[in-house]
Amino acid sequence: MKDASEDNYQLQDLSKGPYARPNDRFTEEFIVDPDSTSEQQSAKFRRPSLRTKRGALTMALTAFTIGALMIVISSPYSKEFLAPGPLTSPHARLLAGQGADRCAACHGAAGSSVGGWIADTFTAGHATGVSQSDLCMECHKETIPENFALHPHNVAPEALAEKTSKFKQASFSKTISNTLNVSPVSHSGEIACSACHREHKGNQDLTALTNAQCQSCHKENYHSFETDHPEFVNWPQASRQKIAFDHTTHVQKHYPSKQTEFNCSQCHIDDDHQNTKVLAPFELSCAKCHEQSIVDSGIDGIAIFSLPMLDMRAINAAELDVGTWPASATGDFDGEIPPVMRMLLMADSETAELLARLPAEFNFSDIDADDSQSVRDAVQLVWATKKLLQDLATNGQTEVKNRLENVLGRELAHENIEPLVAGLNEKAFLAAANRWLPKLNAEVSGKFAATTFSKATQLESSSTNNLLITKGTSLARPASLPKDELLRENPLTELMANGGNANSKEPRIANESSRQTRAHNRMDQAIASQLPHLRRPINLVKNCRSQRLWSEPRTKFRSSAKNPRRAASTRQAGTGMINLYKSDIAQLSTKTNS
Amino acid sequence: MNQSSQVSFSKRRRRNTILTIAFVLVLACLVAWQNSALLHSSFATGYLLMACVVFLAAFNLRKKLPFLPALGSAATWMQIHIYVGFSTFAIFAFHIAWRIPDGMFEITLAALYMTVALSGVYGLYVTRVMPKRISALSEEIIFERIGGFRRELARQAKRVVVEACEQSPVLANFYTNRLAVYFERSRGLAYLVYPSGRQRRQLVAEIEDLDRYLAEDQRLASRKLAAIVRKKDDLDYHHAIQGRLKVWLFVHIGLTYSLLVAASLHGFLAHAFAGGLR
Repeated sequence: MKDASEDNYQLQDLSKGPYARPNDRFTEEFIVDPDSTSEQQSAKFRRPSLRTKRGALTMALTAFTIGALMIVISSPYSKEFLAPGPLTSPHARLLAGQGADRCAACHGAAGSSVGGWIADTFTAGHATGVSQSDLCMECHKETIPENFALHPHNVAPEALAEKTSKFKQASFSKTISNTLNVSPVSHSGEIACSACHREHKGNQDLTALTNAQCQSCHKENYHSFETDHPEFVNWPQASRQKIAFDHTTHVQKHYPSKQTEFNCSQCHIDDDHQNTKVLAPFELSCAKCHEQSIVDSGIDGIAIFSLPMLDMRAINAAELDVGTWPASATGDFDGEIPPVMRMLLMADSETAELLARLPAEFNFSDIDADDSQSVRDAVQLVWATKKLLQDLATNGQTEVKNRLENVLGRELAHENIEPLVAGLNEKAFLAAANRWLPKLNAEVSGKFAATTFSKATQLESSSTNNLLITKGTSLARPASLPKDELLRENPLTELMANGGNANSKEPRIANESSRQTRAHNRMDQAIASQLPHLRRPINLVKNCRSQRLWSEPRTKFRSSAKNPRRAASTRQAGTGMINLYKSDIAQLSTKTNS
Repeated sequence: MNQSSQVSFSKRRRRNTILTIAFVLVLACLVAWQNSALLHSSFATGYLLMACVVFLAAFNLRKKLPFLPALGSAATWMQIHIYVGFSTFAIFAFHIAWRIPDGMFEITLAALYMTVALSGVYGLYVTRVMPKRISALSEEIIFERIGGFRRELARQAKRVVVEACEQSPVLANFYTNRLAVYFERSRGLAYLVYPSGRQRRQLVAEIEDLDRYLAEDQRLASRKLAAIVRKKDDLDYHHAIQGRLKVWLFVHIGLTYSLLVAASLHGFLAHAFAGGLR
């Protein structure tokens, strides 16, 4: 049975007129005539123009764009697609677990539908009823006073009233901002958080401002903010510490382990004027957990100055010179550099470079006696140590202060430096230098002739007992093992034996430590009976628990577990590290003054 | 006359260039002032960029309204279109603060803008360079009629071969093996990108090599066939060169409205999610 349509096939398809279909905008003049020539067919065929094709493509692409955007906006991934860029690390970490709702943490419109976005845009944000700055304060109210959070620098408006007059007069900026509906400044002088802190630009410094931006407010005071403004050292208050507090580990690890709630306001407290947040003192913030461990770590005092043990044979083999060195401090390379002494040494640029090159936990036992470069480093450290001792003996507290300021790169206030250097004066270091390195001044002057000549002169003239040098001492001396006779007896022995002067300024110290002193004296006597060549060292220690002076000298043997051969030789030689205890210095000072 | 118009063109270009640079400098000062005043310059530059894109898109509408002389001549619109278009590069750079966008939507929007803008620059280049290359050819051909002429040449070639094959099948075999594809198919994308006469020279050389197998009258037919091959190559060259003048507009205009749609959404979102005191 034939299809009905086939019966109708013939017709106008083979007609000699143009072919037109209803609702078809293109008319074909191509004649489907088997009898016509090909020239006739070709000439009468008309195709849509390029302009028509281009219009169709444009409409298709526009429709595709609209459709694609609508699909994306209505999809669960709309936030990821529309977000203008990544957040800074702190915000990104905080919002990482909030999924698609994380935009609402900072944007009031994010919680509403597209209709809400439209309403929010054309009603200047009143549709949602919450500003972005309000949302910022939801989290930052713990660290920023809410009353002044939207004022410059989070300070009371009255305090900045005079300084902000220029900005308030910037009527043009207000006009523009109001017109564009993105006002960073309100009529009451408040500034939106986003005026200065621009998010969605990746992991950048969210608090960074250009000099020009700072000067938008400070133009009246400084012609050029970049060149005229003083350094930001103590604003709004000086930082009392350089501890990098790790909030993350405290929140996630330490506080939960102690089943304690992490509360921001425990450490970030208001200042006396309720203007700014300041850090709570140690007693209120850290002491509960850390005080005992700090006390335990400092119960034996903190070494301030130390002479290492030197392998004089290795130094001689390397044809290097360290001058004289105490016999009790010779043997194999050994001994650590106390942190305080390390910091003082770093004031010298060359020594700082050397220390930076050495491992952080450098110990003289790390010196390879067979490596000339390693020995050369040790010798450089020895001369830096000698230089430090001479400077301390010459200038005392002033030298400590100067060196600390040099290392820290800023001036230290008197109230900051005073607790650190109390009791340390040049006479104490003079005594130490006299006992350990009698020719220190001459050697250091010879080594650093140009730079220390004036100091040497000063030291020589100020030392009434001429403790350090004897006239006629040669300035340059080849490296050699010091003779025992060069090492004088401990100038503090008599002081120790007497247990302190009852009329001295620190009788309490002597009395408190007399039992310990006697114990150490007995130990020293026992050691001396077996090792008669041993010299009893003195140590400089600052007790951090009671802030008082520690009064017993002690011999501190060091056995290196990682080098049994060296440990054995150390024990056999009976030598030890030489430290200077602060108590000795104080008592020596008392004695010298009296 | 020609020299005076050339001077006029130079003066016009210098004047428009200076005006464009001055506009960019003023804009740079405005942006610097806004940034130093803690204002979001991206809003001002965004509105300016949107206005410029709308104005640039209006040029296409102006071309569709030739009966409105009050709107200015198309040539004037073209000049303004070119220099405003160049200005948008600077506005766009200020708007994105000289950094590559990070967000997916912003990357898409930036890619759309750059595609439209760079296609415009390419279009300006080809409309300045390609007409000279076209006018160097023997005759002018309307682009839309190239297809018809190409089919006509194919028929002519076939007719010449049919007439010549009565005595010898050499030309017919050669046409079947070598020329049928050349006449019936387009030259491909490679030829559109870099049109060259290498295939034409090769075919003509092969036709000449057939002479030893052809009689005298057949050689006359082969000469006609070679001439048709050259004509076909000229047509293809016209198609490639004029195609460049046409194709860029498909990108430039085709994506313009997509850009406007995406930019409108971007501006809307910027206001809806703008931080501020409110």
